[in-house]
Amino acid sequence: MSQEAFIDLQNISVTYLSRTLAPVSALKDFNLTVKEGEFLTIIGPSGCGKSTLLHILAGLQRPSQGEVYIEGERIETPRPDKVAMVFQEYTLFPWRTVLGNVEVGLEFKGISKQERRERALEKIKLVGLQGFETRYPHELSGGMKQRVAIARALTVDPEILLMDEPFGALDEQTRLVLGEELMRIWEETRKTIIFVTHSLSEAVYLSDRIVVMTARPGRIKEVLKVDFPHPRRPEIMTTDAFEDLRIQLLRNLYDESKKAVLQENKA
Amino acid sequence: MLAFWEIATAYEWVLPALLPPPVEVLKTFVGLLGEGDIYIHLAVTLQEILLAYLIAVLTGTFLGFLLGGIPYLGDIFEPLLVAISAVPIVILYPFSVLFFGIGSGSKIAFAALSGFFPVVINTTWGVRTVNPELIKAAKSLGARPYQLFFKVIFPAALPTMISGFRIGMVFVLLAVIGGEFISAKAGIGYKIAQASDMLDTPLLFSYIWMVLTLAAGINKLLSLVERKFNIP
Repeated sequence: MSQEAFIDLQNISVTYLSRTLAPVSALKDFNLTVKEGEFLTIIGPSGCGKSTLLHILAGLQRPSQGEVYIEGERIETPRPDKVAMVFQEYTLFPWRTVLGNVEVGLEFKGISKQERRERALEKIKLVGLQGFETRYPHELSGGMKQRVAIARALTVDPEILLMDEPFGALDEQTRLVLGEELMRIWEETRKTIIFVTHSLSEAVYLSDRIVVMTARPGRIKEVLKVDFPHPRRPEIMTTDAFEDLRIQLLRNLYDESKKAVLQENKA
Repeated sequence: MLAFWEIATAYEWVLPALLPPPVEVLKTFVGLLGEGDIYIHLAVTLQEILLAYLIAVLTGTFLGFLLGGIPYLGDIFEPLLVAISAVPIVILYPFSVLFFGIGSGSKIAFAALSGFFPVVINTTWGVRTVNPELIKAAKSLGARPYQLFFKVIFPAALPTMISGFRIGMVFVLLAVIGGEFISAKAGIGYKIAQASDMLDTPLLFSYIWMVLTLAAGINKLLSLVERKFNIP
């Protein structure tokens, strides 16, 4: 903690113990710092501990070793004032309307109904879901559900937004549109975002920095900087610079993915 | 169907002594409603149903949350409960009469036990199968333990619980009427047994109609409750 980073992950190791199998090391001596307002993407082969990393940042899981600091404060339990998470599955509460889902974090906090409603409506507008406030999740498409999840996370006004493959279950077109929207929301709010994805172009399009992870146990293989100016629009995806970065990312990732597949076959 | 029934009895395709014409049943039924006696029996039966159901739902829900919430207990007792519930519980009715007497007590105990199983099994199942991702999401949004219970686990388990409540009611009805039928001093089931013993088929059918109406009414009530809680 020499230069007071915004997010500081120090020597994180996670080992999963199992009754029947040998212990699995998901993360080993993982170190990373993130700047305030940065859009950082983590990409890596499946099983490399990306989700575990987000769970640790969200305070939902404790690492076997190492510590997480956010603004110098150690994170051990969920801290909705600092960190909110958007999950891979939509994880909306099916018995609550869109509005009910978006304001639930404020409800947990004991905020008055009036204020809850105002703040929730503001975020519903931000994600472009006005007019759907009284709908239930089962009445919405996958893309709309994920917008609700984003609004729900933003309503508690966290400093950091963790996104665990949020668009993974969506079709390519919806994914593109939501990626563009997320870019707009980020440009508007300048939250610190840590984003996990499997999509190379999504990573290049959205990020300031891309962390490529190795196969299990997950470590940092390489960090790529992305310098496209903001506001960023999807048109940059057709440029040569974009394609060069994407290919560089693919090269980095390919060997690790192969290793991960071999690991899986062995297990 | 009623028309066919009327015709079948009018032409004596079946013996009217075995299957009385519906018009006659209706007359007996209306006559029955004019007597004060039937309301006493109806009240006894309703009271037994209500008390047994209350006991079944309260104990079943409480234990269900315990077994569902504590995986260790659930692992031990859930298979046991499922196994016991597969046994026809009616074999325990004689013991219920021995323990609680021939009055309402034995019916309530027996019916409560019958209704308890579907309630406890469904509640346990409902609580155990709450999507863990929903719990994670709630925790990450700052839910405290009691909020997690009342605002996430309970509503998430509710649809499964309610279907357990409905099956529980079917079992309670069956057990109360059946118990009264086998041995009792009062209640609709008891009157059915009496009418059957005396071969008074119009009276028998009147009571059967009464039970059908009762069951349909309760079922309607429960489906209204279910609709209120099962939004999605």
